[in-house]
Amino acid sequence: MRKVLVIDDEKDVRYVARISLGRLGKMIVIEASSGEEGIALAKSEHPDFILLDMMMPGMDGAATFLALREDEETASIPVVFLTAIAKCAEVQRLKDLGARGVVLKPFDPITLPSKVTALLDA
Amino acid sequence: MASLRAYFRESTAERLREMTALLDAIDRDPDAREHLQRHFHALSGLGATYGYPRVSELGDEGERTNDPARWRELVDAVAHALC
Repeated sequence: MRKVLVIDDEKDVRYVARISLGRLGKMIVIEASSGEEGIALAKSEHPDFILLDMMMPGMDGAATFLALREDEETASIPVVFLTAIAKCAEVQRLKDLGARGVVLKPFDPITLPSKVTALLDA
Repeated sequence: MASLRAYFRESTAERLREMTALLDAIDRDPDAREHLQRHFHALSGLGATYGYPRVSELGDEGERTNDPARWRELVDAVAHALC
């Protein structure tokens, strides 16, 4: 059973992701509401992958991602970004940073599990 | 999906109360505009996910405007969209 860490400051995103990935996707879902909390949980929980929001107050998604990459404990954990930004250039920039993929908001909770699985297994 | 929609209606009702309070304080709270933009951004990204695409549309417009009067109209429109 895959373990996913969802990092998003919005509780409503974390809630629907938990329902979607946990119930439909049969994954173990751990949640963090900030980049700092997410980094700490990534180290303690060793998730199989991370779903990371781009726009968070304080430590945003990009800064969180870089911090995860710079720490040998978390550097190899695949990261899929969650973002409302639809511009192709921005999506490519995230992939160039090393993200496994991008899921655009608003996402479909029914297809989210298969979407992230496809990104991880590609 | 029905339970997700019910959760979202309740959660968004609370969010709209917060947004209304921010609008009421906009002339004296220097952070109110930023917080309101953040709320509209959240609505944009959440509405369709929870089965309310109209809420996402309204959130998009809220992100693109900087007019408190229009923001109030959009808050009301979001409330109606959830009925």
